[in-house]
Amino acid sequence: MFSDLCFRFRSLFRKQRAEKELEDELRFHYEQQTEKYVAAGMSRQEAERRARLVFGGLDQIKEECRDARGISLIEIVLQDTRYALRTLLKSRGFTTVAVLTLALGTGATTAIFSVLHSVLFKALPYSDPEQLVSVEISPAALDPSLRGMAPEDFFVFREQGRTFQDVGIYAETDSDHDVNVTGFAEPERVHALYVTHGVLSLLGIPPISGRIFSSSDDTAGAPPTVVLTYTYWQRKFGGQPAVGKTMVMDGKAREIIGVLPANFSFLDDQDLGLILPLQLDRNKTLLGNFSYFGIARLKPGFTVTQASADVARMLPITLNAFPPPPGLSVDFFQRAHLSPSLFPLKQDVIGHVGTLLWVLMGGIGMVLLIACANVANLLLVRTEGRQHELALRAVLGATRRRIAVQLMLESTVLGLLGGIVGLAFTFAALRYLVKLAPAGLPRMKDISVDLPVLLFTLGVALFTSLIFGLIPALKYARVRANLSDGGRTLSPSRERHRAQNSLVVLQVALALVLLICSGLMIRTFRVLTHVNPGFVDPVELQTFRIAIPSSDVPDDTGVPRTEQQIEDKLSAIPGVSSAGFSSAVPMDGDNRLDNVFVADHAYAEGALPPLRHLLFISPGYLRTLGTPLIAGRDLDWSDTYNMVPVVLVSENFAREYWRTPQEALGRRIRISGNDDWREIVGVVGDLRDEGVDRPARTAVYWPTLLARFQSKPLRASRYVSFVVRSPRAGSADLMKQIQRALWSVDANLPLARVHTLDYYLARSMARTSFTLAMLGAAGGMALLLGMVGLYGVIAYSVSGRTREIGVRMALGARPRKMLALVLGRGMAIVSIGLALGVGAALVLTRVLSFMLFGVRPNDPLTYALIVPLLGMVALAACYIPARRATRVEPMVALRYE
Amino acid sequence: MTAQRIELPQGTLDLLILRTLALGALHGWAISERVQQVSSDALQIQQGSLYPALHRLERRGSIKARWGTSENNRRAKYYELTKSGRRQLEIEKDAWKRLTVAVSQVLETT
Repeated sequence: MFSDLCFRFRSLFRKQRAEKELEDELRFHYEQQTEKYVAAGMSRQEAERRARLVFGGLDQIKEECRDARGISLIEIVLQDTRYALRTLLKSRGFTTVAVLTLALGTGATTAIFSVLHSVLFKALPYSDPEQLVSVEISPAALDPSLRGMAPEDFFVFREQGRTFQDVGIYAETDSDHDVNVTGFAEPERVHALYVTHGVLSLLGIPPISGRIFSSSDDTAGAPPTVVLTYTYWQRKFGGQPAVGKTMVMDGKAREIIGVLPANFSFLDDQDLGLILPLQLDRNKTLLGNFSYFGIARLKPGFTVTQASADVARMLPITLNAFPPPPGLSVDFFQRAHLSPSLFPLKQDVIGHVGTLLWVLMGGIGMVLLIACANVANLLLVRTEGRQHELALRAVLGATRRRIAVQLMLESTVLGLLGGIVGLAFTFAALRYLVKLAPAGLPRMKDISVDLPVLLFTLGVALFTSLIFGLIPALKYARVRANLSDGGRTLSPSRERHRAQNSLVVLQVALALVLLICSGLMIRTFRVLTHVNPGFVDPVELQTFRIAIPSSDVPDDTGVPRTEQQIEDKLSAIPGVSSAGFSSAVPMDGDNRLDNVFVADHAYAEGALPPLRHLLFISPGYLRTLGTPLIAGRDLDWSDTYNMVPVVLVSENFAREYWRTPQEALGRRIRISGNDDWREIVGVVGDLRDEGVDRPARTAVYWPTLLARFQSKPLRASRYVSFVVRSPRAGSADLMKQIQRALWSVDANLPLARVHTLDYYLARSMARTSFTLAMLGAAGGMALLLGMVGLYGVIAYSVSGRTREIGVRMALGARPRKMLALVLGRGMAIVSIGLALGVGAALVLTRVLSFMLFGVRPNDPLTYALIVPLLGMVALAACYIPARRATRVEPMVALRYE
Repeated sequence: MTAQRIELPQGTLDLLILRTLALGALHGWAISERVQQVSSDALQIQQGSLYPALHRLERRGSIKARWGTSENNRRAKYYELTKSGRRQLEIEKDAWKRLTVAVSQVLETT
């Protein structure tokens, strides 16, 4: 079998040579024969004549030899491909429409697939990424969704872990760990990451110059060092050697020891500039500082489950190896029920976008199916028109298989052309997609069209050509040799009608499903924009963040004075109605939580009070946001400077313990047993600070300077976000004035996170708006393609029945009746499609429920609007060709014959 | 020397070619000459069937072809048996013998 195939191929590719050899072989025979006759005494002329006579028809022998060699099948394919290309070129209109339709479907599908591929499937860009895990601990009894790692865990895991090659921890990558870089032209706040030395080495990415951290860098008291990322090195040093130089960060000189390569990225951290050693002092470590995250490389052959068991074994050891912080006991940590929370590192980076991407893939897949149905319809019509040609070929001896192969080849050529044009579409769509993608969508910069994506496109192109090509191929390969009626325009065959109608039903149903999904997203979006977030007019609120380093203001008690000075200068800017600051602004991702005890409240034995969101605010902050004071009074500056033990709580916090906000006034709360009790002097409105689609967290608002708080003698707020209310918020002009005001107080202070509050609000809805945009685009394409398909089918059926309609009209049928006839048939198909679509939507929209807010998947209003809408559009698509039926002139129709 | 010509029964051409080639490599013309000679001119292979048969046998792998030089120094295409061709020859020879025995038995039974 194999040698046979080789033989066929050889004869195919050496076709010319094979022909020549055949010619030579036969000529040799002929000449030998002639020689024989000459030897027998004939004249040369006579001998040649005899030889020719004996030989018979040379061409016929050659043909039989070619047949015997069996080169036909591959030749057929080549021949038919050429033929297919020729016929497709001849009907340019058909080819253009079909290729564009397919390109739209294939291109959109490929675009979403390349996102899916880069985000979900591609391995992380580290060496042996499958060995990497994120290692966290979560307090199962308090809130299993909280994850973190404490220094004591790190020490114990590194020393006693049986499943890890190496473990490292890093500090939260939020901007409070960024550093002020000074000594260059302007002070700058640079995104920084604090790591123990294991973190970089276990990722397995070598530096392009210098070295990465070793244990000599992260021990307490080691000389300060820093590693630069490639982009920061390029920006700051223009690619000039930097290793060995020093930079001033937060007033401290650090030696640059290395530069990382351009392809290095830390998890999904996009704009990292500096990496600093996290120096931990083992002897001063107290239990429970879960503000770090862990990362580890497993020993070969170990699984995440085994590592989890290993961590579970070590957790009790940890609790007994380190002292608890003042005011807490080891018992407290045991009650929190600390448990391991380990995941493959990739899962940690991807998060929960998988479902969303698969839903989008499903939606786009439906568009592709609709596109296929359209092309199948076009092909059916076209093949019907070619029945005469096919019948002729059948009569001339083409087998059924040969005709089927021919038809399939045509659709394959179409599919491949569609794929190629679709790729151009993909590139355009991807550029758009990356811009549109929500902030939470990880690994966006990895998105590219690479080999697997190209293979996917090829697969889709072949698969679609199979789908839309098989229908006409099966139907017409068996065409009867009825040449006789080939030239007459009869009504289209009933069989083709059935096939076309089913395709239209499918298209309408799929389009309806997609439109319902988009409708549900629009409803969700509307509900979200009407939710009261707890603040007013976020477009008017300019926010930015600063950090006051101890090099500038060494004394903690001096920090509020500097901050108040800034606040005063900001308030004095023309057009600014008020200003304030806080440890975090709503929806910026702040996650400072702690257990808050209420005095005189009986807690169940062994239970911990719930976690509350902690905020440290200036007296004017809540007024600037527009968050109402429900009861009591706001904080004032004398509370802050005199460290008066007072506090504000949110309304939902107050109602959790007392019936009315008023009753909360005068009650006392605290966090640790060593803290002072603080009196609730005011209750303020709830803030949806995790996004409008999440319930408002209970919150406690403390002054920015506190004594005896969280077991510490003094707490100042050096990292604060300012909010400034002005109609000019978001303008460069206002930011210039803000910068001038700020630098008039401290010229070394850089600004970070300069955004309006509206930016955070929009970001919190970004996932919804992204899904809405994507499903909307899919719905739009589905509507367009579906209606074009419907229009085409109705128009064709009208043109095919011109004669019938003409005869009827000649016999006295009214134009209105003809209109009703055509419309009725069209709408009957549409109704079946709509009914099927509603059924499918009721089932399929359930997968969307995780994206919906305030709307149920079977929302009656959405269905009540979308179904008639699609019906109306379908009616219009039927009406245009139907009207043509009423204009048929009987005489003209009959003359068509 | 003028023996009467016999029409070749269906399927015997392949057998004759294989048998002829069992003695050594030959070109097409020599094959037809040899068959004619050995059968005392009783069997004559038509070129019209010889060459398609050779190409078919080559494709099946029973024989293989190579270009060589003929006795009179011309380039000629020589065919020779392959291993599987030899096996096929044995099988077909056997089948032919059984067929002729059976056919004569039927004919001679009175």
